[in-house]
Amino acid sequence: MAYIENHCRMVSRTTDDYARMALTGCIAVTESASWPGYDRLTAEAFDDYFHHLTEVETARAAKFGIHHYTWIGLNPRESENRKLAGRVLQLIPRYLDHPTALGIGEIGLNRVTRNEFDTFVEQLELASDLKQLVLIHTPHMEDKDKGTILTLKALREHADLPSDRVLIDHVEEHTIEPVLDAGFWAGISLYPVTGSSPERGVDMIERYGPDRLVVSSSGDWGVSDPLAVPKLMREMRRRGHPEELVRKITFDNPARFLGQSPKFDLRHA
Amino acid sequence: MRKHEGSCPMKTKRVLDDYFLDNRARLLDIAAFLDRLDRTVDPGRGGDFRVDVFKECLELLLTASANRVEQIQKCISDPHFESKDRPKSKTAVGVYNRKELEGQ
Repeated sequence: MAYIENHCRMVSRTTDDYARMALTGCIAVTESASWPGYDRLTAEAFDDYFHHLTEVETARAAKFGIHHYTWIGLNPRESENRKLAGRVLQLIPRYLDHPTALGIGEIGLNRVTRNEFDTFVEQLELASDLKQLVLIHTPHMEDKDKGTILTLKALREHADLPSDRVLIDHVEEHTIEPVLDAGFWAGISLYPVTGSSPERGVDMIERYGPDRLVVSSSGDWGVSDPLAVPKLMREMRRRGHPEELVRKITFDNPARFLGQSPKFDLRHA
Repeated sequence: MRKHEGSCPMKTKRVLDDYFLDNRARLLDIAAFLDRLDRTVDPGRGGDFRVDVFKECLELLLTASANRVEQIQKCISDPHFESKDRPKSKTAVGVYNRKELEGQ
């Protein structure tokens, strides 16, 4: 069964990972603009990175029949440097014009600082002005609960964005309900150690229903699994969930959210 | 919106057959982790906040009757819903340090 990998940082993955993803049915991947494991020092470094996301990775994925789409934005961790953030934000509109750029992301909060919050609000305003889809990162572990609540507050008070054009990612058991109740899309990250297992992902689907829910591996440079989505599909089948539900979560839902951008086109997949 | 009873389509026996051994192994790993802490060259030193919260979570496992994951997530979370100037570290450690952040 074909599936869409809704969040994987392919710049950090090997070509073999593309091959394995293709063999398991992946036909499209979206990549968030993210933290590379260290803080970049200049806006020029982000210029190179956005070029990589919009040109190099697209071509690398195409060799395996996978459509590569990207998000453009300043990630939460590097949002702390307000001076650098101002320069990077000036680069973003140019890259959003690229045919594979679907919107602004991933943006949001990391340790939930005032600087992160200010940069986050500026990017929300940019998304609102440019009428872009938005992908929002929520913090890890002990910061996730308050970070999610403050993310919802920022969306409520500082942005004029339709809720169905915003995906709030990395939800877990204690944050999924407020996100869905506020009308946003919610993303479950199947990430070892600090995220959800495929089993917990299916538990959340069972408890909250499949509407406005997507799943992803959030694969990156850390210990992570770019095949986590097919493993969730296997877990759903093991529990006896129908194929229609498996398809809704792993293909129809992400296609519906991403398809709000006219650039997302799988007709040739 | 949240569903509980009946939301998992498997029968009880099937859940036990499919998941019991995995979770038995996890239980033994937790026990071994706590034993390992006792066997360090400086056992009991420091009263690390992570261990304190970890043991609180274990108690929750026994006392909670539903929504156990959510209750544990809340137990390890920072309950102060406001932004701060600058954290000591750019990386979260896994559980909220009540003693340090509340100046105790």
